[in-house]
Amino acid sequence: MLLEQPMAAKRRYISLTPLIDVVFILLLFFMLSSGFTQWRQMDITAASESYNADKIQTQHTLILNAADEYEFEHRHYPVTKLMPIKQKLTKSSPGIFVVAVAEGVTTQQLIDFIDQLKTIGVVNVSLAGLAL
Amino acid sequence: MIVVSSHTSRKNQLDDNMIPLINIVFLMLIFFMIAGQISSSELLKIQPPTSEQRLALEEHDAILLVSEDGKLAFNNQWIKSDTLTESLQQSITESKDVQAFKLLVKTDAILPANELMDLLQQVRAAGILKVSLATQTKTKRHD
Repeated sequence: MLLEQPMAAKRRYISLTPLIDVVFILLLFFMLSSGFTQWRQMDITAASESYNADKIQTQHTLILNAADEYEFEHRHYPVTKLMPIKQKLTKSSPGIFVVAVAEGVTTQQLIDFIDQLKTIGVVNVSLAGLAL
Repeated sequence: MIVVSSHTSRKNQLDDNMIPLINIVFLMLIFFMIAGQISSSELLKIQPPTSEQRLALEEHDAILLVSEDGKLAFNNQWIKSDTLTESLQQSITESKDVQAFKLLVKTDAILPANELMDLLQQVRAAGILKVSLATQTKTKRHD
C-alpha cells in the first residue's frame, strides 16, 4: 500500500541552485582576473650612484650578437663559455663589464647573458650607461 | 508498507547529482583564489623575459610598458617615443622625492635589445636614477 506523506511533516531542503549561481560567478571572476605570472625585478641604477670611481680602474666591453656569441678583447666566444671573463675577475680590480648589443639581439638574450655574468660572479655590469 | 514522498525524493535525487559538480567548482574556486594574483589589466599584452633574478617586485612610482613592436605606454596611457622624455620629466616633477623616484620598465622578451638600450638612455637623460626591469621567474625546461 502506498501512502503519500503529508507536506507539512516533510523536512525543508535548501535549494542548491542559488549557491551554485554565486559560486560560478565567483569562479568566473577569479578565473578572468587572476594572473599567474611571478614577477621579479632586475635593478638598474645610474652609474654614478652605484660605482665608486676610485676603486674601479678597468672597463671591459662585451658585445653580444644574435648568434648567442659575445666579443671580448677582439675575439668571439659562445655565451656558454665565460672563462675569459672569469679570468679577468681573479685580478685585484673587479672592473666594469659594459654590455653592448649587436643588431638582432632580443631582450631575452640580453637578460640571459646578464644572468650568466652574475652567476660567474661579475658584480659590475653596465647596460647603456646604467649599472646593474 | 512503503511511505513515499514523491516531491522530496525527486528533488533530493536532483541535488545529489549536483554534488560532484559543486565539489569540482569549489575546488577550482579555491585554486584560483589561492594561486592567482588579482591585478589591474594593462594596456599592452606583454610576455616578459625570464630571468634567474630572485628580487621580488616592489612598488614603483611609474610603469613604462614596451611591446614587442616598440609601442609605448606610460602609466597605462599610450605615448609616442618622442614624447617619452617629456612624460618622464612631468612624472618626476609631480613626485615628492626626485631622488627616490622609481621607474619600472616592462618589456616584451622579443623586443630588440637595441630599442631597450635606446629607451634606457632616454630614461637616464630624463634624470631617473632608479630603474628596474620587470622579469618573470624561469621555469625549468625538460628538453
